[in-house]
Formats: sequence, structure tokens, C-alpha cells
Amino acid sequence: MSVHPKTLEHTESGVIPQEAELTAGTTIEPGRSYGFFTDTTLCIGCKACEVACKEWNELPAEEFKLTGHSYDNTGALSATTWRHVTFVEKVSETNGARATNLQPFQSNWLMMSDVCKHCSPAPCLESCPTGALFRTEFDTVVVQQDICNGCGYCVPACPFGVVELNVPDGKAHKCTLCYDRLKGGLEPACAKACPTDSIQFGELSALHDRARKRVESLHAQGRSDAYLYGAPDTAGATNGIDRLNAFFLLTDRPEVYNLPPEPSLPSRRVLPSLLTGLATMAGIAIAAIVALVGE
Amino acid sequence: MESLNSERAPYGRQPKPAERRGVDSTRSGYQGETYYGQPVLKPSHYGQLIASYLFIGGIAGASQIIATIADWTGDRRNRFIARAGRYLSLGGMIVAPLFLIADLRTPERWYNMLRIFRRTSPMSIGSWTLTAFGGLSGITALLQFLGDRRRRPPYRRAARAFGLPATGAGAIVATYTGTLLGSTSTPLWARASQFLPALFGISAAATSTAALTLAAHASGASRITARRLERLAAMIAAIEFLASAALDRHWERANLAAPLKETPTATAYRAGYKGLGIAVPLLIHGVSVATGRRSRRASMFAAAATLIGGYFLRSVIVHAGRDSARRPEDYFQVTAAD
Repeated sequence: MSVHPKTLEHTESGVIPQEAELTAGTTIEPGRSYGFFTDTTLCIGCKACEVACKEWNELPAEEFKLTGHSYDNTGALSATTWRHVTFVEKVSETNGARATNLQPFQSNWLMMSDVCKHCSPAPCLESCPTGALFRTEFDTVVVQQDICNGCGYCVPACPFGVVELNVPDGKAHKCTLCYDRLKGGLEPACAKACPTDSIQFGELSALHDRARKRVESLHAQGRSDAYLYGAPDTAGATNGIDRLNAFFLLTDRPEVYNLPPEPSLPSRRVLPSLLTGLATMAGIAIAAIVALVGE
Repeated sequence: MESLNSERAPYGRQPKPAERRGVDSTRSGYQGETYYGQPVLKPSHYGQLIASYLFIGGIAGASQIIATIADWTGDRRNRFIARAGRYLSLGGMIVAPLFLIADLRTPERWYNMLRIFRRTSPMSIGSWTLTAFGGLSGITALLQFLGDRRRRPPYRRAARAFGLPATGAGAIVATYTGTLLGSTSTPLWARASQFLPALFGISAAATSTAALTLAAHASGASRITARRLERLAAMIAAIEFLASAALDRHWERANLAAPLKETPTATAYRAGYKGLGIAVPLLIHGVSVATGRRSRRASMFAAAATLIGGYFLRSVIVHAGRDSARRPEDYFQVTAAD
């Protein structure tokens, strides 16, 4: 087994400072924005990301079950599953039947490794009454387990169905974008484990540039259906959600991947809704005055 | 959708969950593909505890408003309503937070609700408002008690003064719960974010008036008190009839009403809320006010029906919202690109 030459410089501690520079080509410093660019055209559905995430974060296995609809037996993101690979079989062009010929590009299968989007601004964070959900120095969104009291309001607030309450410990859980690893200069586990670089970790502006070039390159190769989901001013980053720090390159409609085309920021509805309520009670007060005065 | 489905071979895409449940999926505006019918969203865990809180908190908030108005009319014959309203408000505020804390998945950390204030979170706004309202309800009830006991005007005047901020907080407590549900991604709630606080507020007033009516009859309050409460109940029932019809129409037009049409939700909504909560009180109180012929029994029956119906409203909205979050076609519809 070959060893990266730089590890030999650190045989004493066994820890490479800023290891992410070697594995992801980026240093990790507080005050900068980090995220994931998940290029679904490179995903081979190996689920190494799911395994790496479970291993690093010591997440328990889900109840064993077979969904019966595809190779996706994970089903969905949950309190204890923070990466989830979706498997979409392209059957529509073949009259509902399974394809008998293999397409040269993506071979009739769309695969996407789904994850918390680390939205900016983040609906879960905005809805959290305890401040358990906070934005880290790496511009990621994390639930502080020692503060969360399990009110569960972040769960319906999330526009992507990511965060969930864990029944045994009574707290909300979701992807931390490997906050502990980032603190140690390590690339997140899923991105490091991804064998095809479908999951790319990096500094956001660099990822955006790389993603745009990838879309251009795919367009030049005749894949005009490639587009970004969650980068600024694209689908997914809509109605008050400026950007998703974990964004995607897709080749079919967002719904096909179980993503909403134009999600919205729930907190935008707070003030108009509160004022409507108060106006209603003013009306009720007038009714009460009319009813309680006079015979 | 049927034609598209029949074209599908055995290995084709799974039917949508709505079709699997035997519900007509044409009720959703979205007819495209879903991911094997899997939900996009996670439903909230809210159940009967939260429904109970919405019900009791609403009564507490609206009772304070009615009590303050009764007091400020300066009419001695409204004294029962002011007193009962203040006690009811305090009683509700003692019970309501217990339901909220019981619903937390880590209840021993309930005080973290007061760790920060976040104006984007209706849950945070609500926590602080409840705290303020609880304190103000306690003070007004105490001053009311002292005023009744010692028969000294300063206590009455102080109760009247504290009633004003208590009323403001009560108006928020009675309505912010609609904002709380509306400020989520759950399609049924999010699309009704302007309607829910209004309907919850109106229902809070209706249930509070009903509770006061029962209290008035039980403690043998004067006839004028009963008559005035009946008049208020009739007015609110009429307002609630119109508001709930407007919300139904809104959901119907937005193609989001499907969760309200599934059993047992449909029964609870139509018979429980629409029937007991609106039709019965509207009819009984309406006839009574219009003809001027009042029956104590009929009035108490209508008040009890209003209370039961008000609970059904909260329970139905909470549960139908959870069903709505499980329908990917509904969420894709409300998040569709223009």
C-alpha cells in the first residue's frame, strides 16, 4: 500500500495538518464558506458516502428493509442517515418497461447522493427557538446536541425533509458537514470516500466556478440537460433561499430526484401572518364591544 | 394519470402514494413523476398534545381580551364576564405550557426556549409571548381577586390597567399558533399562512365565549350577562362560518384539500368542526338572538358543541398537515416553477 509522501513528515503524531489540501485541494480556515458540489453525472451508486458517513459519525444502522423499488434500500435521509443515494431508473422513454439497451450516458440510471443542503439562509436554523441550530465558522449549519430540547419545529420547517427527531435521544439530528473533521483540517468523510469525485468538498466560490465549468463542458458534449440546483440564481435557490451550500448538478427535473423545484424560506411568511392574526383579533374586539354594550 | 399508469409494465415506476391509498390523485395539481411516491418532506410530530395546547392557549388568550373589554365598558353588569375571563385566562395559562413541555422530546430542557430570542421563529416569539402573557394573566387575576375581596377601587383600577398589555399579549397567544404552522414547509399549512392565524383567533374567541357561557350558567350569573354572551357567540359563529368557508375555498383552489377528505379526518372536520363547532352554535345562538327567546339548556348545549368543535379544528389541522407533508405531489405543486 502506497503512502502519501507527506504522511512521512508527520509520523510522530500520525496527523497531517490541513490534510484536506492533499485530498480535496483546499485548506480549511474559519471565516470562509465551505460546502459540497455533488455532480450526479459522476455518481455510480456505490453508497461509499453513506457508509463513510455512518462510520465517521458513529451513526447506528437503520432497521433492515428492502424498498422493492430500486437499489435504494436506504429510502430517505433521517436522524441517523445523513447521506442517501437515490436511484432513478429511466423508464419513461421506453413505454414504462425496463430498457433493454444501455444508453452510453448514465446508462438509464440517475443516481444522486442526497445530503443536508446547509441552506443560506437556513429555514431550520431560523425556526429554532433554542439556538441549538447555529451557523458555524465554516458557514455550515449544525445542531448543538447539548442545547436541543427536541421541540421538533425544525423538522416541518426544512424544505427538503432533511432534519429529523431521533426517538431514543429526543434531539434533532442532521448532517454536520463533518464539523469535527473541518476543525481538524480534514475533508468530510463522504467526500473523501467518494471514488468518482461525484461528491466534491471545497470552498464555495471555487466549487461554484468548477460546477459552472462542468455544466459548460457537459453542454459542449451534447448534454444540454445538465444544470445546477442550489447554486445562486438557480433552481433550488429560490424565494428567499439565496443558495444551498451543498448544491447539485442534475440532468432531469428536480422532482425526479425528489427535490422541490422552487422551495421557499418559511420565515418570509411570519410577519404577514402575525399581522393578519392581530388584525383578526382587533375585529373580534370590536364584535365584543358591540355585544357587551347595550341591552 | 390512469392512461399513463396503464402503459407501465410490471417493472415500471411505482404508483404515487395517493393512488396506493386509493385516493384520486387528480386532486393534486402535480401530475408528473415522483421518486417512487416517497415523501419529500418530514411531517411534524405534533399530535393531540399540541392540538390540546392550541385549544387551551386560544381560550386563555381570547378570554383576556373579552375580560378587558367587559371591564373597560364600565358597565357593572359586565363584571361577571371580566372576572370569569381573567380567571379563565390564568387557568388556561397554568395548564397550556404543561402540554407544550410534555410534547418536547427532551422536556427537562424546556427552559432553553428562553435561551435566545429569534424573530424569524414563531416558536421563539410564542415562547416569549407565553411567558409575558402568563405573568400578566397572573397579575390581572390576582388584582381581580384582591379587588373582589377587599372591594377597594385601586385594585380594580390596577387590574384594568394591567388588562391592556395582557390583552395585547393575549391577541398574539390566540393567533401566533396559526403563524407557527404557516411558517413551515408543510403544504397545507404553508399555503394557509394568512388564514390559519385568523381562523385560530376566531375559534379562540368562540371557544372562550362558550367557556364563559358555561361558567355564567353554572354560577347563576344575571340574565343580561347570558344575553350579552349569547349575542357575542352568535356574532363570532357567523364570522367563523365565513372564515372557514373562505379557507376551504382557498385550499380547494390550491388543490391541497385532499388530506381533509380522507377518513377519519374528513369526519372529524365536517361533523366535528363544521357541524358541532359552527353549524350548531350558529343555529341555536342565531335563533335565540333573532327571536329573543332564550333557553338556558339550548345555550349550554351550543356552548359545549362550540368547545368540542374548536378542539376538532385544532386536531384536524394538525393531523391533516402531517398527511399533507407526506404527499410529494402536493409539495411539488406548491414549489412548482412558474
